[in-house]
Amino acid sequence: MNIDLKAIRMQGALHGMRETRDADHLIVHSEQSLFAIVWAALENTPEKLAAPLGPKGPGKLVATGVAVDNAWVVDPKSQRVLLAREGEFDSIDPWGQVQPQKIKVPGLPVGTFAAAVDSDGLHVLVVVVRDINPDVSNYAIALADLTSGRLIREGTIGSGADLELLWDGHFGAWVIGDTSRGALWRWDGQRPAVKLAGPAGHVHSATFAATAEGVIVSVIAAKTAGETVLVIGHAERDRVVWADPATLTGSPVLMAWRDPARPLWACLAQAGAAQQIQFRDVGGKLLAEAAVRPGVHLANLQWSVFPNRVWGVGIRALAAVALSG
Amino acid sequence: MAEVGRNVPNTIAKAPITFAMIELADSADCNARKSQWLSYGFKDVTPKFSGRSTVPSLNGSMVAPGRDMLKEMASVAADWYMISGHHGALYESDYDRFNTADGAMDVRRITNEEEYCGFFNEAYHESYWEHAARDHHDAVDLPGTPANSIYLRTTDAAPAAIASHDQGNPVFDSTSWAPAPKGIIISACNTLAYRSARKTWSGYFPNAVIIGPISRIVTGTWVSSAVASAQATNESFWRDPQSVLDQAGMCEQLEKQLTAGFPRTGRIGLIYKTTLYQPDGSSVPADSAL
Repeated sequence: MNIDLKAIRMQGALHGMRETRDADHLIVHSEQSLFAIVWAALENTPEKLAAPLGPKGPGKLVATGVAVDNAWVVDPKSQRVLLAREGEFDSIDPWGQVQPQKIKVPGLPVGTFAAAVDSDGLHVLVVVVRDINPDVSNYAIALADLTSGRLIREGTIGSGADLELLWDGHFGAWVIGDTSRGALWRWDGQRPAVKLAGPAGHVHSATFAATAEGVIVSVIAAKTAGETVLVIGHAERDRVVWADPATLTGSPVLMAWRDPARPLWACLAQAGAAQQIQFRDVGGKLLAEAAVRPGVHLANLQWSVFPNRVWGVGIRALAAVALSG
Repeated sequence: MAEVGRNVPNTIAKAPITFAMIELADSADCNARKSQWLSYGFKDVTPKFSGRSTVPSLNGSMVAPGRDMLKEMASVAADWYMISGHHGALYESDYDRFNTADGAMDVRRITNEEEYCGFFNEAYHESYWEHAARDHHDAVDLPGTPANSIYLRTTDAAPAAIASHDQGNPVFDSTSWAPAPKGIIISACNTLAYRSARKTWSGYFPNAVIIGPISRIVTGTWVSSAVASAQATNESFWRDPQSVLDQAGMCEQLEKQLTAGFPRTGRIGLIYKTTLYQPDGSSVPADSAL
């Protein structure tokens, strides 16, 4: 397996990135704006330069006034950006062919932290804040029906860690994943949510992927002696079937993401100052590894909807990884 | 004169920068900052756990090794500290001391008048914090696992008559001998909202930059992301924040950049040289009532 890694530094703070269905067409949240960009316009940025976006660089402005707690998502069906604002969603064609629309959703709060859309593009699940007392707030979940404008607040799901949202077409329900414990909830928007526990042990990170076999949970955990393991869970309807932990050798792995298309994990690792992108199999075996160049720091990896491609995202970096062989 | 063949020290080489971390809740914020600092070649000097790629949360089976680490931390002198976890008033029941005449909770009075605050782990949260009171704080009467509690004061210690648990904060303890740190990130709810805590931090560390929320937060990643996304926080800043912040207008600029990367549902601030810089552009003495 060969890895071709191209990483660039970004001038503005990068708060998020999502793909559209056209290869290498991305929507990025940089500083307070959303931009539509084509990777080809960025990938040849000289190593010593940080790439600007907007008027001073490539990228078409999609939306302004976008804070880190304005959640947004690309509707896979219409390819429009759905951007949560207080009391409404902006529905925006990122390439400007269709006029923007506002979809009123009374009660949608000021702060939303993640969003996912169902396969019909009619419902958007968002992470919101639930205040408990003057010293405690939690994340909670709300579901916006874009047809009726109704907002349903789920009352039992809560977490003090970042949540990942997925639409699980396999069971026709949402999956809400706790990235700090590997636990998850299933919720269909009507019946009570069901919580499925994470694995035992000291969980460092958990990611969630919707695959053809269902939702796969990938947990990086540590044994008491400090040994790092990958624990893979298959989320069934009412339980997660956890595989035996696989010991990870080589540079310490911080997070692992399952390829939605096949049993292959993209991992972000770090040994001292150097970061690596690794690919491992279901047993944790290292198949290939590439170093991230100095000066570029990545925080997350995302599998592309296109085969053999992974995106790397950092606060000031964007990277594309192509696999071959 | 240098001897022939001798390795002459490179006096323009970058000085080693050190950091130490204490995590009492979800590790994601400390992990993110550790990864960034390591990428600059900075050295983790956290006792016991520095060799780990991620920062352990001092809960469950990590409480015992965590206590050993905290004990050793008092003899560590780091350039930067990051402390993360739950943070709040001594007990939840303390809120009742500041109710209005009609019995409603007065949040402004709570943050301005509560004398005793601290960082704490989940075991403390589920036992002491939720169930103890100033006149009722014996561990044997509390549910959960009070024996696993960790509480690090961020104010004066509460007297034994109202709090029977250990309240030591090794970062404060190290000030009796260690050189002043360059800065401290205090990543939890209301770390800079409580007047008594601001007064304590700025009293112990008058020349350090102290960054933390002036509001509730849900997760420490609100803080670590805002810190990372601020344009000013490049490698030079972490090496020598004083030379940056001593320039006119730079504290205000950093505060503005932190706010831009922080959720609008919360507030983040910084204290530098006993002044609190706030998201609305104002600044006040750190020990002022807000």
